[in-house]
Amino acid sequence: MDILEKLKVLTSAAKYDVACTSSGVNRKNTTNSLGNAAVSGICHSFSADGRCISLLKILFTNVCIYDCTYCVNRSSNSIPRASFTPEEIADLTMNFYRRNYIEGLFLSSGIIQSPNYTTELLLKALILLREQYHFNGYIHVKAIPGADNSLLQKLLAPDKSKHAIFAPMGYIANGIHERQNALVKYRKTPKFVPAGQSTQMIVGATPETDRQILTLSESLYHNYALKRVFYSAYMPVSTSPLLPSLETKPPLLREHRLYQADWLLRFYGFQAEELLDESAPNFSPVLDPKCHWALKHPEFFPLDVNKATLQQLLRVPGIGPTSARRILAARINGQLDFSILKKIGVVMKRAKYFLLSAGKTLAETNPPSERILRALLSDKSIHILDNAFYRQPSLFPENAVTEEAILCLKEQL
Amino acid sequence: MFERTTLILAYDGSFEGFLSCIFDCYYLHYNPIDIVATTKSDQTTLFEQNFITTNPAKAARVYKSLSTKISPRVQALVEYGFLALSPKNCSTEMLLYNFIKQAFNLGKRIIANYQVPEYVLLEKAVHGLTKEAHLLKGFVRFSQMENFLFAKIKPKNNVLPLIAPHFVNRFAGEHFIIYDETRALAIVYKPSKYIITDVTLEAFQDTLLNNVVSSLTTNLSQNEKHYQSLWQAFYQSITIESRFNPKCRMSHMPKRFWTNLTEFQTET
Repeated sequence: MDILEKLKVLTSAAKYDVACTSSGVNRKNTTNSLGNAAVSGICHSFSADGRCISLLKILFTNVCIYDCTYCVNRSSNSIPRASFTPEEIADLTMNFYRRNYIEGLFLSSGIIQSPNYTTELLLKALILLREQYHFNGYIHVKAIPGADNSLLQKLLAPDKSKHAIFAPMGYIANGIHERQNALVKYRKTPKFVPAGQSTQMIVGATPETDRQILTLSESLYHNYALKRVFYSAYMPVSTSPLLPSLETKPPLLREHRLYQADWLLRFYGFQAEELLDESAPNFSPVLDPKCHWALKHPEFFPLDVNKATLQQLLRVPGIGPTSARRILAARINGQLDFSILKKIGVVMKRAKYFLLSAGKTLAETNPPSERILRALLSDKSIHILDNAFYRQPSLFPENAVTEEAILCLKEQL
Repeated sequence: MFERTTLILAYDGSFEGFLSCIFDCYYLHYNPIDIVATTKSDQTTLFEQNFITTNPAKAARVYKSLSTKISPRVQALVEYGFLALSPKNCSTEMLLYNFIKQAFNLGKRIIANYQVPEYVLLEKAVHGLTKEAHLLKGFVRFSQMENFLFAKIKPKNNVLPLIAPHFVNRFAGEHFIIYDETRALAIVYKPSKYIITDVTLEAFQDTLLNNVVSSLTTNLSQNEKHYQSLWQAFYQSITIESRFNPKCRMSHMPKRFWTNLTEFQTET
């Protein structure tokens, strides 16, 4: 099999892994070598499904000794199999990187022969890149579960215990269908220092509620200092009585809501507990989590835009971190009115129901939340809402009509 | 004081030249209706046109005063603003001229003052510049030429000064050229040294660069073609078909960038 075919096979095999990001790491280049890492993260392209392509995301091999039902690469699946050599990986990475196609390498693998053997192959590719080619770009590599501690130590920080690495994995496995635990290899000479961990949760394959998922993410961010949690709508890739059927539509809206909430946790100072409670454990299909929270907490609003703190401003629908900071900076120059807020970039369509300026509001003060709700929704969402809550009034009770109709039909028959 | 309101100032197009104009406006009480980048001989309108010769000493004084008399942020905003694409109905130079006038009036409180239209416009323009520069850090595509890497871009803003340090850092050991088609400017780098040079059309005719641009479309080396097709194959395979979302892709990667992206240059 030539390298082009291999690349096609092993890219397709890796594409469902979305825990792929290079941001948050700064790595300097050395003189006359290639590569560095930018803390902001750089997207080099966007695939036709709209996802950022920043790393060369491939599997080392899709040959696997295990037969995990949910996985495309399970040993019983009949798909074309391929394996790279460490040299091919290094060569591809270097040549793609030199042409500015990629930000670095994202290397995962199926288990070939044994976890140790696989890890040794991965290590060989990494050592080639770092030590022979002097590649200083970003490398993200999967720690193979079950590989020897000594091998993992080479991959990871020597000062990090095995327990610390795998405890999060065990923790996740208890609650949620978990597919990947990826660890970033980030070498700071002469030690290896991990840049952070990220994980991916598959949404929609198991009956967890949004609340359970979000609470788990929160604890991962707090207790395990995870860099990112990724959510991906369950894509059926195999048939099994244990899994949802192949016809299952990926719950894309649910995934979207989880990402919105994830951002609220990381950048807006929200707690998972506030966003979802026992009585309503799932996100609203029509309204984003922030608006939803705002409508449920009328006591928090209206906020005076000239007095509110950053934390308070961040809770207003229509104000994000950028416009909140701008508001704080602009307040030094005098009172802000609504026309200035618009110039600052506040989305007034949503924010106007929650803000006060010099004792005035732009919209009706404290209108019933039902009316705000309708105003916040798009036409499409209003339609969904109406279908769920309102019905065309009927002259007859519904059941009675159907029973009569059945009787009528029977007589006729 | 009599202010001449029908005057157009002309300068050589450099940042120093522009600052020299500001210097003269201040000390000679000019009140121009436009400031244009041009050569001496050009006379495009019937308005009186005054060519301001670039004077590094004057420019340095203006540049320094922006920071010391107002604030370093105003200085940075002017410097970046000069590279940015002009907003509608207004040349970049006039916007900067009005902004500087206002800045000397208001002092450092012009920053974050959304009641001053010049600030709002300039801030927006600079935001567009930095955003495009960030995108292009990812969207530049190099091709391996005989002994250097070559990339062609077509940005709206003059992003080269902003992206140069990034590429110089990352490709420290390489030789490369990034060519800006819109402005006929290029970053030329050889290890440890880079310049941003003007590649005017006449000079362009028989230089190395011209050969490079033509060979981009005609005869790339086999090796280069090999890696390009590998990248195209990767780009095709990474897509999850069941999540096809062209609108989302276009909002992140507008179509105007596609002409220079290797992944869209599939051979017919």
